[in-house]
Amino acid sequence: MRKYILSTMFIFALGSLSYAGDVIQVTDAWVREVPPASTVTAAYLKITNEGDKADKLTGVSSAIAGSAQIHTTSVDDKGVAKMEMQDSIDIPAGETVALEPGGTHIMLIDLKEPVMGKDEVELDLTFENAGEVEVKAHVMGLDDDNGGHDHHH
Amino acid sequence: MKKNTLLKISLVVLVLIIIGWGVILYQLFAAKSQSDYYGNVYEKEVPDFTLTDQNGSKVSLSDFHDKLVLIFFGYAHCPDICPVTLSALNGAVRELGEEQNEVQVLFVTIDPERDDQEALKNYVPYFNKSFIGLTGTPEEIKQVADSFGVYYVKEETDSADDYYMGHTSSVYLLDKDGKIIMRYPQSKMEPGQIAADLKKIL
Repeated sequence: MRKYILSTMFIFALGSLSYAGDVIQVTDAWVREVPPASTVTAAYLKITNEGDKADKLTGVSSAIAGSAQIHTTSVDDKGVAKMEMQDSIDIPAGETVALEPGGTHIMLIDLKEPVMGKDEVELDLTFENAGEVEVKAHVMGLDDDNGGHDHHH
Repeated sequence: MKKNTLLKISLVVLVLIIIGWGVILYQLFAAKSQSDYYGNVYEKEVPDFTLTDQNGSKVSLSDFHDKLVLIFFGYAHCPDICPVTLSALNGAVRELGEEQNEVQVLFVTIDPERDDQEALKNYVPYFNKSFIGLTGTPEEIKQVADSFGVYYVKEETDSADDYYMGHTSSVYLLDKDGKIIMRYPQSKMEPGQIAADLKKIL
């Protein structure tokens, strides 16, 4: 009996663990390589909400940056580009939200060390429901076939 | 009565002929203005200007009278649009092969307060060693931007010592006479297509 309860608890624990980890999937994360003296760069990624409850990306941080903010670049009908800071990004249930060049991105400000020469940068994303999600973002330079455009992928 | 009917028929035929010609002319015109180039045809005369490059040399637009010139106005603290654009221009120029010697990319800062010679030296050649970054006094920059119809504005942020720039994000293509002939908005940043335009013009 006791063994039965323990194993049930174990299965339950395992189930809830994988539930918490799987609802929010972050894929295709990359950080733009910038010249060593640059103090800012941008990170891009895709967030998929596989759960049935809407979630929100409420914050980002990275050890390499003094701060990280969510920004959206918008270009008006006169061709003027502006960046607007967002408090959060909605991730509706069952949907994928893509942060892409020329749109919404994570701005890494006050870089403490150059991203040039690194393979990966760690990002900590905070979601309203899913909590913290750690992501490894690839550093992509001019020769990595991104060129700021990812339609080849 | 019969004469009247004949007149009506002739009128209808005449109208149809006119409409037909209209359609043909429209198609000829539309085909010419829409499909010849990827960029938006935009013609504008701009006065010559002189600014300072990342090595401290004075550079004038007229120095490149034997080249096509691509000009982009941006700033080095810009994390998204400016790297996207400079990467695309690098891609376009590299696709030209040997002909790339006949094209010059100029990056004019609209943030001269922060983008001095050193800042541009750290930033612009990273994208392509042949690219030239230009800075000047705020007045000089304003004058050049105005002549291109480029708008920019400082956007304050929460932290006192930081700000962003809102700015016109199109790339301008100038012919060998230094006249603007084409404009590439952010929706037209496909390097291969820009290169195809350049090849056609060269």
